[in-house]
Amino acid sequence: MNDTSPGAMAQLRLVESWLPLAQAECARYGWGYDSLRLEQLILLAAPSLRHAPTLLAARALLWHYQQRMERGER
Amino acid sequence: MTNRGGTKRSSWLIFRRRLALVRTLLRGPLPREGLIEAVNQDMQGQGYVGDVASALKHDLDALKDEYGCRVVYQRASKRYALEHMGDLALLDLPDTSLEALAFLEASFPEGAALPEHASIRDLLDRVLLLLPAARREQQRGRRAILSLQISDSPASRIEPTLVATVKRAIVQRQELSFAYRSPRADGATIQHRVAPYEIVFRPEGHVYLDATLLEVTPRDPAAPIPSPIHYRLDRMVPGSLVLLPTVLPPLRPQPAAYVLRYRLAPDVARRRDVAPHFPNSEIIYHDDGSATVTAITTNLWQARQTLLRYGSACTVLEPAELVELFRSAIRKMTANYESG
Repeated sequence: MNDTSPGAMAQLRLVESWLPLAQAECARYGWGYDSLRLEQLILLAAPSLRHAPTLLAARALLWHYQQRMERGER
Repeated sequence: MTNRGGTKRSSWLIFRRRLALVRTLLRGPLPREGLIEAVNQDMQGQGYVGDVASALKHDLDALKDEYGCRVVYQRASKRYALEHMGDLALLDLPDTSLEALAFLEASFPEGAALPEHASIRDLLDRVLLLLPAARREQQRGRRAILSLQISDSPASRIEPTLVATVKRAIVQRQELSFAYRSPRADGATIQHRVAPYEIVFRPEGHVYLDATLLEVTPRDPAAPIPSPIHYRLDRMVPGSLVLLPTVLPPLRPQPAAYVLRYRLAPDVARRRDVAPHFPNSEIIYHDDGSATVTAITTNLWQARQTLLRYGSACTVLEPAELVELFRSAIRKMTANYESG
């Protein structure tokens, strides 16, 4: 059953907004992530992404959190 | 010698402090603490020291006595406000610039949506406030000989709080949801969730929010998601706007782009001065006086509105979706006249 609670919907919207950029970075750096892994990356980076003032900053944050994910950090 | 030098320095500091005080007041009303802080920041800590309250009172009295400045204390908000500059004219302008001011005043009249919501009237009033009294009077009597012909829909049709909420959503890069009175749904309101990007004033007098549609309830098969849409602000239902917590990426997702190609009849293209209405416009003029324009568009509805102005002098060749929009519009127009 789909979770339609406000929290789950907010999370879905967050992923929906940032997925295109995360996908582009994934393709650029050849991470080979599937949609589930990309979603994990976005959720991990979300608190910092909120404050990213520019596209470059957002890309740098995604790259940073991807490195953390690869090291198994949370 | 030391005393004389000290007095000189002190007088100079007081003069600078009073100028800084006026500049601060020109930004808008402030409480006493705000004025002191701003002046001190401006003068790098050399503004108000020691008996601060007394020094501020002296400065306000001096501005009134020496220059006729009118600074009032608003009791309700506990703030000081500059109402009139008196003789303290900080700005004068050449006649050509005054002519430009008159042009702006004539083009953006008081009470109309664009000047009010873009704060143009506020800017003009502040510039006029800085002029010497004689120049201000001269400006009042000046007749504008140039003006932009912008339709002036009344500002009262759009609530300032609504505009403020939309502006905040854009600045904070937050999703926005609102109820929208769509002309297609017999006045019914439709709930939209959008990514907001810019407020656009169009020459016909309407004010739009340029946004990307993310969700619409009930679903509308004619509105693909995501798609760029210009929402009229006066059709948003006041009180329905909600800033959602989702923060948007700093880059707008690129909407689907269409190659647009249309032919213009000799009637409008013969003089070889066709306006490039769309990005990447390439215009080829033909020997018979007609022209073919190739360009890029991301908004078919907007493209239709633009090209309809040419009337029968324009034939859209592609994309097929725009050709269909034209056919549909022409069918409806024909029906309007046949039924009459």
